[in-house]
Formats: sequence, C-alpha cells, structure tokens
Amino acid sequence: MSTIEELEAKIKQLESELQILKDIEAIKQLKGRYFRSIDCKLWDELADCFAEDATTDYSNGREHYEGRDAIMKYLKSTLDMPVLTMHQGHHPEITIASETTAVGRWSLEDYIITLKNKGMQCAAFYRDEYVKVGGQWKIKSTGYDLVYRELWDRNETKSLKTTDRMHQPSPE
Amino acid sequence: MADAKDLEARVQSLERTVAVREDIEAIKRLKHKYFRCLDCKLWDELAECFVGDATTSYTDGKYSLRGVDAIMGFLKKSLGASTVLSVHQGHQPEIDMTSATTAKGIWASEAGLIITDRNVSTREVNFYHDEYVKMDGQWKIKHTGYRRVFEEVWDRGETKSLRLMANMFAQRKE
Repeated sequence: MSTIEELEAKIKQLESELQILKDIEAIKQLKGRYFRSIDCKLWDELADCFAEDATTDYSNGREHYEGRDAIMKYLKSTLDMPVLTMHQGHHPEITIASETTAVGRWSLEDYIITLKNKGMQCAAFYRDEYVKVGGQWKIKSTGYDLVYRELWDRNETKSLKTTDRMHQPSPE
Repeated sequence: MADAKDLEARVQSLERTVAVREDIEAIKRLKHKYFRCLDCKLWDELAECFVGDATTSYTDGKYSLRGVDAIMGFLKKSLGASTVLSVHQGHQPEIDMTSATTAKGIWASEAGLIITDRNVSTREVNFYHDEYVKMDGQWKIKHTGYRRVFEEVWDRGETKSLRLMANMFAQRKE
C-alpha cells in the first residue's frame, strides 16, 4: 500500500495534468471568443483577447502589427462596416509550454460578403502564441498562412438573396 | 476521515479518469495534425500519424490500402500535385477508448478540392471510422476510412467573376 508521501506525489502529478487539460480548454475558448467577437463586431471583447504587447502576421505575414492598439485599429479598419463575415477555427493543436505560455495551430475557413456583394472565401492555417496574464489566457502572437483565397461576384448567381443579416447597411 | 486505503483507491480512480481525458485530447490532436499535413502537403509529418501496418478504406472501401508506404504513396499521388488545393475538415469527434492503448473514433468530415489546371472544384461530405493505437506513449492511426454522404463537382469557369487571389502552392514566377 502507498504511503502518504507517495499518495501526495501522485495527487501533485494529477493536479498538474488536470491543469494542462484546463489550460487547453481555456485556450480553445479564447480562440472561440476571438472569432465570435470578429463576426459580431464586439470590439471591446475582441481587444480583451489580446495581450497588450501582442503581434500579428495575418495574410502570410503581410498584415504585421505590433501592440493591441495597432492590431485593433487594423481590424476595425477592415471590419467596422456592415460587411458580413464568418470565421471558423477548426483542428486545434495546443501545446502548453509552461504554466503561463502556450502555442497553438488552428485551421481557418472564412467566408465574407462584402459591401459590394462580392463573395470571398479562404482556407488558412493559424500559428499562435498564448500567454497567461493575471490568470487569464491571452493571444500573444497570431497569424496565418493561406492555402487559398478566392473572390467572386455574388450578383452572378441571379437567385441568390441575403435574407437576413446581423449588420445592416446604412440607409442611403 | 478516509483511511490511506480509501485514498489510494480514489487516487487510482482519478488517475484513470485523467488518463482517458488526456488520451481523447491527444487523439483529437492527432487527427487535426493529419488533416493539416494533408492540406499543407507535409508528407513526412503525415507519415508519422500512422503505425507501420496501418490500413485504410477510403471512399467506401474503394481505396483499401495496407501499410504506411502504400498509404503515403496513394496520398501523394492523389494530393501531391501543386495544381491540387485541398481543404479537409473533421468535426464532431466521437472518441471511445477500447483499452488503455486502443481507441475508436467517428468524425464528420467535409472536404473540398480546387484543381487549378482543370478549373474544377469538388466537395464531399463523409463520415470517418478510425481505429487508433498508442505506441511508446504516442497515439497513431491504426485504421482509417470513410463512407460518403455525397460528392459534387462543378466547373469553376461557369462563375465568370471567380478569381483565385492566393494559392499556397502556386509556382513562383521567376
């Protein structure tokens, strides 16, 4: 039978393994909140996903920004208009590197309906770094490499109608 | 108060519970890596996902292959060309542990191809039925295969405005 010391060591091991599983789940939820905030245009909630000194390398590194303020300025400049977006993250591969740092990969599929009724679709792979600040996981760096991106005119499909939208075009 | 014997039984039960959660997460991650390596054409990393004697029954069993070399040969032949862009997605994993070192999984899958030199797109919806095995602490694919719900194919040229704006495998213009 185990001694108290042996049991304590086993419990410590279990605590550390459970913490890793909880951290992985928290990081998956962080990324879920990030994508939801983008599509729902919840800018304060989106900003809260980033560490203050976060960096990005969106679109094969072409969209490189340093600092949460610069990142938010860029994201608002492309999304703070009644463009409709769908960003889906799939296939998380999360590695907890230490108690407060982690790295992750995700696949991305996005679909965008532009103001001029253009359709834009892409598939890409994200490479992220995360940091735990004050008990909360935040995005430390994020960026993606595209598999492809395509663009077409939705008006070409005569029967296609957008029958509901979260973000309304301004009445003009 | 619990005595040491009770505590030991509870610790052992917790160890099994935690191990199952870790195994399920590791198996999901293995499948995620498999799909990423397919779409990024990372053949060496993809081969690591399989055990040496792995088997497949892709496309309703039409492609029943035995051994990692045969499987990799088939995958490279199907997806290796720079003119084939693929997007494979796995959803809704149903993972069951069948022992400490074996497991089964069912995944919903949506996959699409863009074949640039023929200007054709395909889309298919499948259900994967997999078996996994843990070897030297690493989960590997022991068997994988899928049954199709549907596959469709269309001529991209029919949408006159359609343009490819980015392509991971485009030949660099010298």
